Amino acid sequence: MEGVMVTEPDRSAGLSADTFEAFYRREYPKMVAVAAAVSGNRAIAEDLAQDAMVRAHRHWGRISGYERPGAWVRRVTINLSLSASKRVAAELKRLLRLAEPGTLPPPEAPDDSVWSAVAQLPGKQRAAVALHYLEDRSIDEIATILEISPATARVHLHRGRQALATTLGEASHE
Amino acid sequence: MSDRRIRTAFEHLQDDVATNVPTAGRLARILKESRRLPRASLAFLGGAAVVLVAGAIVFLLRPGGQSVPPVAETASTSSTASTSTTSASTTTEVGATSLPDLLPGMVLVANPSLDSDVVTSGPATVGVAADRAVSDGKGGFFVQRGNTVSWVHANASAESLLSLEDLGAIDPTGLRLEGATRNTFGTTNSLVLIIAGGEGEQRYEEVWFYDVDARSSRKGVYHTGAYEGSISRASVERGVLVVTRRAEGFTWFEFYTAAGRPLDVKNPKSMDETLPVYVDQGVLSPDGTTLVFLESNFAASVDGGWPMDLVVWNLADGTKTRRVSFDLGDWTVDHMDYDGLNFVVGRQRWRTDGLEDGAPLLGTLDEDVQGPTELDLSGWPSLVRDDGK
Repeated sequence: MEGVMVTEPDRSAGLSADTFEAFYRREYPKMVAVAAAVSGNRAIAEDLAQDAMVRAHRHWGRISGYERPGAWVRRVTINLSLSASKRVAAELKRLLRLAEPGTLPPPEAPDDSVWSAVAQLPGKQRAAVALHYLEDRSIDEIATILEISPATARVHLHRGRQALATTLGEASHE
Repeated sequence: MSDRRIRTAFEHLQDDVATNVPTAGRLARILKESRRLPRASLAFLGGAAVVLVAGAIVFLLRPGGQSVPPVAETASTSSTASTSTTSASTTTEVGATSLPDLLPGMVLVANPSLDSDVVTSGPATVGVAADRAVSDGKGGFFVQRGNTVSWVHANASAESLLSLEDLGAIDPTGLRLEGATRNTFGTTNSLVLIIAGGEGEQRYEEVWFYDVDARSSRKGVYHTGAYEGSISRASVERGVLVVTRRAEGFTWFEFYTAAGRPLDVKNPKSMDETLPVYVDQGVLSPDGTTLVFLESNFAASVDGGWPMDLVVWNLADGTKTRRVSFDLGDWTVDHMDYDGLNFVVGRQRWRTDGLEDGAPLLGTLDEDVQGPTELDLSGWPSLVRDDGK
């Protein structure tokens, strides 16, 4: 039988001694990069990362006690970035639909073909690829951050890299 | 080769961020906001929210010896508590502070992480620094913190009511405040509690009542033993007890009198039904005639989303009278409350480090179904009710 009592998570181990300020200075630039890679939109990445940090600050009393507060803020950043990318895509589609024919240029592909290929990946694959290339995260760490099993994380990363290689017209080098 | 190209692109992104992203300004903005307001986290609780602080309640809401959030730089005046002790309870008068008006239809949101004991967010939400909080129908509320329950009266005086150890349960391990009922056992106020106890094969959960007027508890009227699953919700109104049960993937409702005898009513999902339908959070209307619950068909889940129907069930004739659909995404339902018109759904989701509380959803079941809309505060929600309902 599962216990249903209201209990606090066990925070006795690995308490973080970070102040929020130190945490922010260390993690915010990294979150901007993660947000840019996952949302595919550098212009909104700083706001997305800031939003994640505001949420971290709001719950800092709780999050600072977590064993890995960095994992929490990465997860929030990725969630916000995936939502934002969907929202931006929908908005663009709406603008194109509303516009008079010929008045709005078609969306331009990113200059860099790599970012164009990354943008085409499904969300979880995009997140796994970003954590792998940006932060050199291991499979276990990616699994922890995305709250999936290591096996699933491995599949997401493998498929993401394979898709990138295919899109870029070259064989994957695992 | 492609791997090198990809790495190079990501390295360029990192260089761009390292060169062009200012950190200090944005950090200063967060810190400045928190210093400007009376209590650190209130800046994020809901825009232009009015903030009230019932400072001295801290003596009862926060158990002694446990960590207390830092006091804000401009904290409100803290009164000296005058304490009188009776055999049953302790009363602490709270000086010049006061509670916000708790009007029917408003929502109490309990969140132990709040830096202030009581805050208001917008016109209809009151946050309470506790694990759970339910209205007393008289302008105050009952709060659970850890395994203790206190009563914060409308005049902001606070009184400790019970602790788990005092109830007389066998080998108790935890309690859960489910709600307050005002028409059971002839009392003005009874608290509905779920008590867990035992270990291994001795584990159990029971529904208990605490008579607020008499300051006495009634032994469990409903009991589940080890391997019999758990109680996900207990609701009591007008002498009717509905227990929502969960065991090995199955969920169902059981109906009893408040004294614990089985009640013969048309059940929207009983234990012997094996439909692939998940039900949860059976809540009675204040008049005891209607059951509101959540229903979801697992097969309907798309892309990890969780379509959920709120069903209104007429207990008299066993018919579904209303159905409202919404999508919970990756959230699960923590708690639902219903006051006969409004409903509020609390949400949680599992994270590696534990449960994350979400912002509750508030809706109205009038002729034009409203919402549900997301509240500004995250936490465990309950609706404020009228006295006597």
